[in-house]
Amino acid sequence: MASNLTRREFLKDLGLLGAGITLAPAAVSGANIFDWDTEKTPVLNRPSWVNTSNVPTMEIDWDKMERWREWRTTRGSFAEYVGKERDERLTKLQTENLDRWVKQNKPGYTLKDRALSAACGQGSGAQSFLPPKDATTPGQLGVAPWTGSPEDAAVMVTAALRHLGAGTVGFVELDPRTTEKLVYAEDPDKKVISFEDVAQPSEDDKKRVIPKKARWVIVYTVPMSQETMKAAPTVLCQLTTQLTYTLNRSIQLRLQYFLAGIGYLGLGEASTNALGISPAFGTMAGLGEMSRLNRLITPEWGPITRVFKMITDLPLAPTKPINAGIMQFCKVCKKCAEFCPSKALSFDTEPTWQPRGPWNNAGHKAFYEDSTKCRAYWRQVGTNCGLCFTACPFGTKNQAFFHAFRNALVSATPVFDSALRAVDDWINPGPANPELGDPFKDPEKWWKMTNLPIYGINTSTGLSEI
Amino acid sequence: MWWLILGIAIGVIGWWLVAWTRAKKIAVKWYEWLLAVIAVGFALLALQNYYAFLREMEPHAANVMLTLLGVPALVFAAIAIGLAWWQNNKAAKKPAKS
Repeated sequence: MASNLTRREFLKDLGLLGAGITLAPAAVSGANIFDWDTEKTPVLNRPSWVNTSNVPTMEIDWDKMERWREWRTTRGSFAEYVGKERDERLTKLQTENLDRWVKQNKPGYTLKDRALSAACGQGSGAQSFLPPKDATTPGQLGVAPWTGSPEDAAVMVTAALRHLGAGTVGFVELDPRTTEKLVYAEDPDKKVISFEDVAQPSEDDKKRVIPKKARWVIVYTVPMSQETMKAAPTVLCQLTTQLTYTLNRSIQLRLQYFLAGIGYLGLGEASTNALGISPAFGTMAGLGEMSRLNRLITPEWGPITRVFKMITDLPLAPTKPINAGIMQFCKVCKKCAEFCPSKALSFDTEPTWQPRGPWNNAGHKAFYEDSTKCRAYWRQVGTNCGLCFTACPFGTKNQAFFHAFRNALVSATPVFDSALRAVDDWINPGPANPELGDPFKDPEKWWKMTNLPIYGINTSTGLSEI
Repeated sequence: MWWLILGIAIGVIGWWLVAWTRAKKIAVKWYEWLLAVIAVGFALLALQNYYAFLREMEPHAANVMLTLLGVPALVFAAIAIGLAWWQNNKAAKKPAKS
């Protein structure tokens, strides 16, 4: 067929064929075009479109910020904010709705959903502020505590945490004028958290004491299942949150054992959401950016992840905040606010310094939410909702090339943010006219997915290509 | 692995196409090759996004992306083939100079 080709033409075509064979796989495997950057973040490789910065994309006025009392959120003070009568009415409504829906076999609220949700809360390790007393210390082995540079320590802790089940890991150094203000003044159980000039941490009925030598915070994410989250706001959706908290109790305990084993303190969260403000620490550690959700959105899993922290006296090289264009995109997108059934999220185009209520802590320029509306909806459906997380365009599984293209574009320029939001509406439209408690995606289809990854999480996310 | 096989297949088909047009003395302009390459690019993007969204368990998104990227692929391919056919047809009808 090609017998009339000259030798020169043949060799030229052979070269073209070689180039084609070499380049075509790279071209079709589009996700690899935006490869991982190993230089900007030595601890954990992040996508190349994630830029590090000396300041976060959310403005902070450290002078106005004060250490927060966790129990002032609606988790601890809902009844005070809405009144006892309304609180009791919502409790009654929650019981009635959950009871009716389980009997009606409403998708996402059925017996099997309830059973699996309850199961996900079981089997966790003990959760404690203080390190375990029975850990084998270096002294017991007749050796000195581990020593190394803060950079080496950061790499070591990251490797250990990845193996224990964490997604991404970052580090914050505590400074009394700034980042120390992100540690709670009072924990959810109203115990005071105090920094004192002592050698060892302690805890009694009223106080948890952090030695001043413990200056570093290990901040890490534990991803949730995006597919399970898509069943929001049902009981089925809630179980991925529940499972992540359960998993973290084991991760925290094991991290405390590891730190004790190398001769250092690991001061954990005494209970769920204790010790410090997770989204704030996540922002300062560069695990993600603050968003319209007034929560963290990560480059790897969007908002569909939980953030945890541990204070230690092991010197660790801090990681920088990031700018991946996420906060800027949130200004235009507003999809979470539109999908929020209680209209608790801000529709403002710009963040503000003014909190929406006493449940917000001041001192940062944010899209403050009306937590009482949010929490009231939780009570109506009997779950922790999650529709805003589900609607977020960044809460995707990131296998399709489109996600890499969108993320790179969002990071590079805000010009296409509106168009990208429009495309997201086409590919992730959600239910048209949902009634109270109706899911974003059909939970009954979830129960037929026998090939979801373990824990519903793609654990290879965040890894560099080998 | 599938992408490697697809890449090799595209390379072989591309080489064969070049050789075939030359053997048949079909004149193909540079911009017609460019249009064909763009069509192949869109087709590959359509395929990658379609199957990846199916793996993400998002069949609706898969169909949307197949349409959004597949239609341009077909349009570019049709223009490239149509242009080449039209020009060669025109050349064939032109009376040879004496």
